[in-house]
Amino acid sequence: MGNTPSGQRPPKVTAQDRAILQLKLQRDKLRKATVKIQVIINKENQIARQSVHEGNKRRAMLALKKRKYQENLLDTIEKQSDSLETLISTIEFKLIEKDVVFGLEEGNRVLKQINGELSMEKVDKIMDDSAEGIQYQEELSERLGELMPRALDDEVDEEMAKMEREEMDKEKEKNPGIPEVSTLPELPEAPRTEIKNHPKKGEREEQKAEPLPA
Amino acid sequence: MDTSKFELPAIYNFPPFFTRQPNLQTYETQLDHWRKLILDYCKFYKIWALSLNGLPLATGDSITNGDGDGDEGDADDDDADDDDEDFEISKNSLFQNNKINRSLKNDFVLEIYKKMIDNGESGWINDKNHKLGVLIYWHSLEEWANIIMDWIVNTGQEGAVLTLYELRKGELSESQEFSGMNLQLLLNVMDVLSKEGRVRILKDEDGSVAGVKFGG
Repeated sequence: MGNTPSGQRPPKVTAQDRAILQLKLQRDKLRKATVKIQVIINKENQIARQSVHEGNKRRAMLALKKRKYQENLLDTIEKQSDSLETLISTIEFKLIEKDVVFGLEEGNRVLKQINGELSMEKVDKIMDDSAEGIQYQEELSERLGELMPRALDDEVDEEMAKMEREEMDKEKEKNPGIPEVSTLPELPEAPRTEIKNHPKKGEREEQKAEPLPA
Repeated sequence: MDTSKFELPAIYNFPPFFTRQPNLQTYETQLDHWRKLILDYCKFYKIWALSLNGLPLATGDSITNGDGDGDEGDADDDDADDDDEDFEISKNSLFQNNKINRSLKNDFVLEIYKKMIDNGESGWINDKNHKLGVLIYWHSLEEWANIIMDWIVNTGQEGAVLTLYELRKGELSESQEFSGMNLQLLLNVMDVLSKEGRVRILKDEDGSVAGVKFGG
């Protein structure tokens, strides 16, 4: 019985289990006794009937008396069997109750433990910690800002401006007319300025042609 | 039990069926037919055990009680009993066909039983005394183990302690297929469950099995 080839472990047997088993064995015995008594009762009944049939009154009376006695016995046994049965189910139910109480206790303990882990001071401390962290971060960026001050910023600004200029130039080279097109309502004035700035013939021709479709 | 009768196969009225066939192939088929017939017959009539003469045996309340110490005594008793049993063959033995006036010889019956035991369809009531007859497993022991475990689970009895008597004759199990099971057969089933760790067998002070505790 000791070694279990497959992984499952056999159920543990407690003192209560043994007690219940003993009660059940007693109950089984009583039940077997009732079966036996029932047989005797039937037999006595048969004897009585037969004796009456044969006219043997005394024998019939005796058999009936015996039957009555056995019937009384059967009654007592059934009562005992009943009380055993009640006892067994009471114990079984109490065991379940015990389990329930144990479960409640266990749950309570875990709940307390979790609550302990979630104490106010701890939460406060965590909140403080994170606040500190945020503050530190802010300070850090401030310091960084101080450490590499205007110089970098200026450089960045300069580069930005340069890039914008380059971009504009590129666009002008590609579609030099576009700026004028976008300011259509002021068309009449536009040519004058253009002419002053860029006195290239080709461009002038284009600009002259432009207004036509409009 | 006589409300509906078991329908015997046609071969049952074929005289050579009752004689051990010399041809090996025919013999094998003959064995197979007998095996199936015995299983079906026992299942139909809910017979748990058969004597060497093919008589249904009682559910065996007393069979295992003397298992430990009474073996030698049993053997002696049985030799004397044999004559009585021979007397009773005709009562209701599957191995005796009065219609065609044929019966199986004990040697051949033993061969059939042995074949069934090899197939896991049967087991000796007592390993040391084959004359006591065999248990017929019209469900294999493993099948019975599952049937009983299913019943335990379905009736919410996991973790409960049950006596063997309760399993066999209890009110709760009354409508179950295993109700009334032969004691030794039940013990064999419990052995299977115990080896799998699904039950723990509880023993009495005298070492006999008193009950079982079912696992969850």
